[in-house]
Amino acid sequence: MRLLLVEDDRMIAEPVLGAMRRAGYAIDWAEDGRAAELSLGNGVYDLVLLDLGLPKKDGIAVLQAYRDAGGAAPVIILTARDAVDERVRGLDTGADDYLVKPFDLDELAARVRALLRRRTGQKHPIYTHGELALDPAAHELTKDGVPVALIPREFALLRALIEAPTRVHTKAELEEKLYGWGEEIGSNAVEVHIHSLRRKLGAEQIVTVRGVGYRLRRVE
Amino acid sequence: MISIRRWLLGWLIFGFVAASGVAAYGIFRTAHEEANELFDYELRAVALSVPPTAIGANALAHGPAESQEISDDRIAIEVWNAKGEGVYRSPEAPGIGRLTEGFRTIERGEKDWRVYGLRHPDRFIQVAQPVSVRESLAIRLALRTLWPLGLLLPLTVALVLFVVSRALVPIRALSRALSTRSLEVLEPVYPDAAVPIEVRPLVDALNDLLYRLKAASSAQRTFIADAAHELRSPLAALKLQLQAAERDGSLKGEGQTLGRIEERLNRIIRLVQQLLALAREDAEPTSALAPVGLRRLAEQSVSDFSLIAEAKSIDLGLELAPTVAIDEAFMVVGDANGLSVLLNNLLDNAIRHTPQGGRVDLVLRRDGEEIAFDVRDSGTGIPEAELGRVCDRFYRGVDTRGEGSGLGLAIASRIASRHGAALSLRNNAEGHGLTVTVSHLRPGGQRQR
Repeated sequence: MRLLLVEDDRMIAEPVLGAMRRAGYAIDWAEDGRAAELSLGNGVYDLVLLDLGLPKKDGIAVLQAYRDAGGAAPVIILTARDAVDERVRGLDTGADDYLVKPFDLDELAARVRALLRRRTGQKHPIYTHGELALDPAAHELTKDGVPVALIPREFALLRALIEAPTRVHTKAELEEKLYGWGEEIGSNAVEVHIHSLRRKLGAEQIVTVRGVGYRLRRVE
Repeated sequence: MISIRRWLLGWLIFGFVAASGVAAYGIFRTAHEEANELFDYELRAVALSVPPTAIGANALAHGPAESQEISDDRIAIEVWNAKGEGVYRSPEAPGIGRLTEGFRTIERGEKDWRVYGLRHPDRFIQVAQPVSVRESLAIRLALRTLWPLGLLLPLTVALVLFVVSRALVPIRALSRALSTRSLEVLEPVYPDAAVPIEVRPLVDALNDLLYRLKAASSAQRTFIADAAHELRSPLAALKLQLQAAERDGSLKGEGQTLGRIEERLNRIIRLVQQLLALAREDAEPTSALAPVGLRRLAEQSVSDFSLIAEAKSIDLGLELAPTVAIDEAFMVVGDANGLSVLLNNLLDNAIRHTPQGGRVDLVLRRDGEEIAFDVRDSGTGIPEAELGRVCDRFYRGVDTRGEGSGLGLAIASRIASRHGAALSLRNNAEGHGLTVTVSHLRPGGQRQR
């Protein structure tokens, strides 16, 4: 995995470079818009971390040129501007994610991981969360290494939850994932499956957020 | 309050009525004098023309046909001979008695009489007439002159009403244009409409003010954007450097000290973010409001805080009232970003002030055209004396500890007022916790997608 960091502030660039290298990625650094364009021309990068306020050429312009030239690597914008229209403009221009400074190194690492995983989605990674490990390819769930037998709808439900474990999934979203178009949905089908998942995994594993939906429990 | 219209109408109509009154009085006086002169002349003529034959005794009894006609005009005639004996007296003569020569006005019985005495070498003639005859004639004469004036009065009042109203139309239009527009719209008024020259300076001054206000407001927005950038970058650098140093062990120090530094740094970052949010809210115009689904925003906010709530074992939930409300029921006119900040600030506060194992509810309510929401916690509440002040900027409760920026509620109330909504706080009746209510949100109708 080869990453490119485009950032003019050395004080910010250094810790990011260090953290990414420690996480096992190769990462290059471009200090201004012109250098970024040259580096991106190589087409060797799997992911780009892009600051918007750059000398010589603005970050949005760099992104625009990159996307116009057919560059497909995911781009995370790192910026100190947080006005909403700025964010919308960045995403419209073709950014995949957006982090407002000051951000957390762990947060950045998580976003990078998520985007790279999405990019290599065909390989079906194994999702882990706490004691749970879900392997979509093998259609297998283990808790503390012990396999747990799930019926397909329970498995699909848990997969939806574990793919974004910190998000709260509304009932409507989960129904959409479980059932195809035009399929008859029982009014409390999701509740029924959640109930049996809790019975099999332990009630504490799935948290009900009153009035909103469900998510997996918090893991330190 | 001074009303130009009322002032103009009042004085114009009063002035006209007063002038009419003075004119009417003048005309009456003139008519009266003329009638006086006329009747005096008539009296004198009658006195001069009393025939000498009227001295006879039979004349005293019947009176001549000529004098009969005269007495129809209610002229009383008395005649005395040279010896001073009354020789003639017309029937209606009031018995005035002999007076001296010339004109005079006297009172006899209940009437005033105008009397004229004329001395001949052989007799004394005295004619008298009631003054009331003259007055009724004077009034008749005056009325004849005055009736067109009376007709003119309502016409003139109507004209005054019309002219005053018509003349004030541009001013009224201007006031209406000003009162119907939102306070935060900084576009010029009447950019090219024809404005009377008397009002022009006012409109120009107003537009100049609006223009300067707009420039100032856009300068403030630019400043905030710049300040945001300038503050965030060094803070980001500081935070990242600190985190990296902690991880690779290049920063030697007590673990606790580093932890405290990072905690402090996070507080500064939060303060800066809140300050910028507040400044941005202050600079934000209200014009950019559009229909927004409050329920979606509420779900998002509750989701965002659900991990933090779980870490504190707080039961955080969203409730709808009525419970079966469809999504459309919670469409409001608003700014999605602002409303999210508002919800997040209130939930953040509620969770912050609720102890382990407590409960926080976000309740969306719809009752007819009224949309409101409550954030209800089971925390410690706020002393009644402080309730009125907690929305002030940088106000921190007496007992509150360090974490808050003191700006959360100030930002929330600013966002609420930008939406024309009311933010109120009250301690729960059961004695535990606080309820923050945002009410009078404007229903938004259909979603615009």
